[in-house]
Amino acid sequence: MSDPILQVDQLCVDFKTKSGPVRVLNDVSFSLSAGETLGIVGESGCGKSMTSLAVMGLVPKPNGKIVSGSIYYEGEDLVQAPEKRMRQIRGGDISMIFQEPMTSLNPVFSVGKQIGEAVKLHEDVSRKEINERVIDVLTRVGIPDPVKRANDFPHQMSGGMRQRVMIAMALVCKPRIIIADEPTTALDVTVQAQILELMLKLQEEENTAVILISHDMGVISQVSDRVLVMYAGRTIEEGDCVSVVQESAHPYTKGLISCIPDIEHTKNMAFSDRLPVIEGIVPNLITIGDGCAFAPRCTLADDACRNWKTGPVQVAGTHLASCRKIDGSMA
Amino acid sequence: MDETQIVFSARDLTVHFNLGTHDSEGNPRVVHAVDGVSFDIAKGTTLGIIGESGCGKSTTALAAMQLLGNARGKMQLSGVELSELSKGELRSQRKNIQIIFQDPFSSLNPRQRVGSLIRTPMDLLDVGKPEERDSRVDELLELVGLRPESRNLFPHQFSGGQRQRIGIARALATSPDLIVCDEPVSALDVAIQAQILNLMKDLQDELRLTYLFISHDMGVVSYLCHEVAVMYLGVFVEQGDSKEILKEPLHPYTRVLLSAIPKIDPVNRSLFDAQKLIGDPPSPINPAPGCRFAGRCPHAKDICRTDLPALRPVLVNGLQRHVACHFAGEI
Repeated sequence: MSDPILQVDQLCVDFKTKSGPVRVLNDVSFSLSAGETLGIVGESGCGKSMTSLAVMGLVPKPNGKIVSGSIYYEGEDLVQAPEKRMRQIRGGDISMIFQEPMTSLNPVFSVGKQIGEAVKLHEDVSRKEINERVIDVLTRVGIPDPVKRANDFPHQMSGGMRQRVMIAMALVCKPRIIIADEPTTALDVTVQAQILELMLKLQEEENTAVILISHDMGVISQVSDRVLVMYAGRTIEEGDCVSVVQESAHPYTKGLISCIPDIEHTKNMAFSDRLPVIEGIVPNLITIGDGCAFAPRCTLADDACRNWKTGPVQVAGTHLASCRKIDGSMA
Repeated sequence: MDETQIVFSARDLTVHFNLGTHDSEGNPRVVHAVDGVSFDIAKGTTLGIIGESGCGKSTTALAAMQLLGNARGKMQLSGVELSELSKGELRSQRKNIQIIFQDPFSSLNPRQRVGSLIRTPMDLLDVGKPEERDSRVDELLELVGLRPESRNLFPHQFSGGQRQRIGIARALATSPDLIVCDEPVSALDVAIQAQILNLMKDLQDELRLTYLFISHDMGVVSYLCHEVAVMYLGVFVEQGDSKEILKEPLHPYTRVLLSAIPKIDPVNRSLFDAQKLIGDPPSPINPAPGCRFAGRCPHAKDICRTDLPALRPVLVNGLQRHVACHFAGEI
């Protein structure tokens, strides 16, 4: 694969709370190449959305802070970049698609105006040209009668249409990277299939890199090239999609996949069968300490795991997992 | 089903909401939320109703709970005809139908302690002797996997999964004949979802519970439900054994719905080969005559646009199921 356009290295983000600082991202590293889709999967609170906010320079201030690590976009460290530069990058070079198309669109402006705003901010073009760009991008995302629909307000559109508008808004400045944070979670499955297909088609046309954040292993496994599994603010497994999903190395990834009632699996289950479960709940980040974050819930864990300094261990090729029990990491 | 005891049955259940406005031809605009559905649930079994947003599945649940004044049709609970009861008589029946809600955060009063939350239905509906109710609360907490000491805590001191356990304990408090479950696991992370689903199955085995289970997730439904009814725009389009329908869907809508589910299989990316539905479901306000799915169905013929197909029995692999399609078994 070509050189990465985004390289995140050992990123740590802390939040101030009443009970002291909490590390919500701990040593997160990954890279992304042009045209690639990276899926980030994990449960609520595992840090997947915080990772995307950190890349966009949107870690909530003043409580949140990037304490160490770097985010290189085409050789430029975004952690050090001044706010003025970040404004150019946001929406221009890197743009974002949010989960809730209802709350992330402004209800009092027409969708055409909202899409045009991005062009106005990032490029020096005439009003006529902006209009043409808006119509063009609405056509590309499959909105019928775009000239008329550009004047519609968000409430006049269905959920699927609104999500298409969100995608149009993210695409209109031809970004190099799109971060889609649970882009189809609020949609019905039939609409979800339409939207995912659209995203992939548009990605191919422009060779855009996509970070797809989702809690849905099905969505991740259908669209990603590579997958990053997160748990308690750490990346615990990373590799190409087929290896991570079919030959998961980390006990958490294995557990996460096997506890899903996937229809290919349930249709052959007897009624008395039970889904395997991961016992317990996700750890409290305040009291988590060092050592393997998953050890308290892991059936394979021993005392050494609780004190093991976590780090990626090579499973095969580019497939990494941070588990002490993987061969070659017993040292 | 000769020797099974029917706990709940509905015949021609219809819920229409008059919007109080008129269309261009002067006809009143009426939302056909539920349009003549019939079902039986046998003791100790689960009927799942599955469909996309706005198909009427939650309205069906509320009608079964006797919470809608405008529901028409006949409903029987353990042989008692509910529509003929007076207000007072209906109230005395309420202890026999309880509900588990979707959102464990908003469905528990944050200012009530857990013990009081679970005891309230017993107090209000006068179930059991007052002096025995507290020990019943402890018993219920243990049953759902919580410590009896939890009774003195408030809901915010629990995680989402534990809160849903409290919701289940509350629904069980009056030993109801039927438990209506309105998307009880869709707000939970997959690892917690599996724990709750297994708990619901274990409780069903232990106490011979009867569930009416509303969901949009076919995986969950096929895992938990004996029977499933697929709902589209207020009507059932296919009804029968859940695993059989999953293996061989007959109604064109069921087929589209199943093929749109992203499967956890990164090698066969079937999501994008599947036939797609175009657009969004039509409006349930004054629906056109004929099959509700005709406008989006790839097989629609003239008759589909004029005659609403009734559910009719079809024999598949020796098992009977009901399909509402003029061409069931032929396409």
